[in-house]
Amino acid sequence: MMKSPIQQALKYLIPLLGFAALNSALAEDVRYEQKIEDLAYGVALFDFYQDDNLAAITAIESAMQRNQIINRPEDAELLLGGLYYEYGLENDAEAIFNKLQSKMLDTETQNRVWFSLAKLNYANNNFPESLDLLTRIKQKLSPQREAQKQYMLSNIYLQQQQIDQAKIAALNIPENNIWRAYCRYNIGVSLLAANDFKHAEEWLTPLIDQEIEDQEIFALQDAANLALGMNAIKRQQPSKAVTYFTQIQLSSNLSNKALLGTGWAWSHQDQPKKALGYWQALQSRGQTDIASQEVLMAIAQGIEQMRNKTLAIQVYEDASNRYDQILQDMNLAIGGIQKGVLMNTLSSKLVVRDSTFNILDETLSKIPPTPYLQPLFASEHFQRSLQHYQELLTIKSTLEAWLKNLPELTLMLEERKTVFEQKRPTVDESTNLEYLTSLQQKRDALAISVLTLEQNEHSLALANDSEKESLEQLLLVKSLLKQLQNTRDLSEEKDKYRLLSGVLIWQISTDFPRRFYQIKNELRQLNSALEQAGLAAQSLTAAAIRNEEDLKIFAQSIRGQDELIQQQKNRVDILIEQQQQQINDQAIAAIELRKQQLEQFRIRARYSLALLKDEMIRKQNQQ
Amino acid sequence: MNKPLRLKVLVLLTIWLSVFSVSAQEASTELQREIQDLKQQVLKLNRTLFILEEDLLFPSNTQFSVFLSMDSGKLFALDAVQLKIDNKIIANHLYTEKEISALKRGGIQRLYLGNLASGKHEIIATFTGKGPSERDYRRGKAVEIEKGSDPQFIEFQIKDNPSKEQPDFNVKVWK
Repeated sequence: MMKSPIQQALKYLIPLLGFAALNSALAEDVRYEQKIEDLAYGVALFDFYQDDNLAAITAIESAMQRNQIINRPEDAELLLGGLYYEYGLENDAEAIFNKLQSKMLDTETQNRVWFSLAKLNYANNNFPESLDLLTRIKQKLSPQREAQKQYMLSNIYLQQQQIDQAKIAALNIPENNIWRAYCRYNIGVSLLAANDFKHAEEWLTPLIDQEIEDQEIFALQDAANLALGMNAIKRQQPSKAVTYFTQIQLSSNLSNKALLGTGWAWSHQDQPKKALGYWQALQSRGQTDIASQEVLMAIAQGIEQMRNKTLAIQVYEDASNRYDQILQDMNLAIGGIQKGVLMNTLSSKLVVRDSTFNILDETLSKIPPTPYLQPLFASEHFQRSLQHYQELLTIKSTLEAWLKNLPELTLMLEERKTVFEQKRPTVDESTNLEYLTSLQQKRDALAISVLTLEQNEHSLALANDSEKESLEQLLLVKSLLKQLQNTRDLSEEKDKYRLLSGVLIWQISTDFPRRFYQIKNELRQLNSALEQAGLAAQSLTAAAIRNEEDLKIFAQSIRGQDELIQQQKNRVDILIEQQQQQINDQAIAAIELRKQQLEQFRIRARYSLALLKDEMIRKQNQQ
Repeated sequence: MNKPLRLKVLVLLTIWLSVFSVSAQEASTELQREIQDLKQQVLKLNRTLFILEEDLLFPSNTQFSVFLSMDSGKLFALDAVQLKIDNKIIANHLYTEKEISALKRGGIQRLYLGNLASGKHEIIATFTGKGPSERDYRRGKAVEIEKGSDPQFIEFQIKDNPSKEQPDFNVKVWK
């Protein structure tokens, strides 16, 4: 009779082994781990820290494809491996870590790769492989990773029955670190399972006495007290059990089990009245967990223990009837699940969109199946199912968004094609080779002229417009002087002509070097301008070709995508339905299990009732 | 029901339950396999479309992005950011707790992605929130850039300056 509560307690306690590790991410905070040297890596982290794994993976994969991860590609690959793992693509994660393992990496990165692989193997229960990887890490990791490493080592040693090694690993974790508390709890519970109460108590007492205001620590302390209390009852030490049970917080979700256990402890000390006090307190809570259902039987047994058999018969009958009622309620709850009550509530309360699931119990407390599903809600496999369901919903909304965006992308592509076609004549003109060649020929002719000028020092060729006009006038004067030389004395005019002509030629000749330098400078500028025009034309031609190619690639990329997206969307719709069914099946299986337990209680109640009635009849017959 | 018969029924029930349990597990594994396969397909599709969208809407010669990062944020609790290019508002962002937490843990937010013509431009980011001693705090940070033919990346950084007991607002132009 006493085995039941212990079995119940251990059933809920043992899954705590490794619970915390399974819920921690492979990709972790990098703020104090390493400097972010690639923008794309930081952007992927931003998505990941908001639990948007799909966006984070897309960001990092796209950045890798575009060679935007330049400075620390191994960090990005480590992150991608962690993201794949978080996204349920364990094989892809392992492939990345294995690939990294074969690379020549610096010690710090190598350690992080081994740590990630060890964690992945640990989560998959490949403990020897995980142990091998963890022991390869010789240097201290960051404080958080180091604590996790020791936690995993401790649990692996426990699993391998190497309790002393497990203890050493646990004690390597700093005193106030939560991982040390988990280790203490796991080692303590393992010692209890091995019937080593003395060492279990020694190991769990520091955890129970730890004075830290932390909900996780409180939960572990309550669990440790419950485990010790149940074990004390099993070892026939009921007074010790009471001490442990009474340390459990009344607000704890283990307090119902503690009340039930305390009652059993008093009952074992032949104090059924005290036992009834605790059991009735539990009954008055009006809850529907397993302890609250078992207490109906316990109360009847307590009354029987007080030798009030008439009342005991009535309470056994009430308990049996109550079990009938609860079993009917459970059938109704199963019916509700089959009709979609659970999935509708999960969706309408946005539970499936919150990856933390902390609000599960509170959010679902109003629907009938919830009281029977709380242990399921806390289980890792149910939360995984819910996470898969949520991921499928995210995939569906992503695909719907792409289906909506695709026409816009097609429109944008058409727009770019049109703009390109409109600009093509200008581009063609600017990159016209014949025009550029003729300009080059003109420049070459000019260069020859300049060279001739330089060689012949033909200064008058560089006269400006006013000087040219003066030179022309002087030529005219010279011709007139020749025509009139026989008509009269022109000595004075001839002198003036010589003087003016000499001054003008002298002015032009002395200014020749400056003018020639200016001409050469202009020629240099022309050379440079022509060169730039040539380069610009080349660049423009290349850009035009590239743009044309890009447009073709875009068109190819867009072509057929709508069909592909639609195919995947159809597929995701089917998988969503199947995943819903799986969640419902898990919920129904959990209630069926509870039904089996309840049926056991009912059988026990009816059996005790039958015995009591038989006894009463026997006594009546004797009288 | 006599005892041997009960035992027989129990054995049969156990076998039936175990067969049912194995086939349920197989179905579940098959479903997980299908989900994994779908995820791989969707990741590939998503990556292709993501790159296509960016390249099409934001060609590399005009592409311009503004990022935001912050450290522990003890001296400045960010509420909102407004971004201006050449005195024109191009982005406003109000922060959620989750986003702030992601920034504090080392994530970098892409605040803006758009197109910008070649030449000189002035970018101004205005940060509002709570500064030291929970006082309302508003600070602007400006930067002048010369947009060339390559994609341009600007990162605004919010950092605590413990010696001044004030937040610092820096800007980094990525090459």
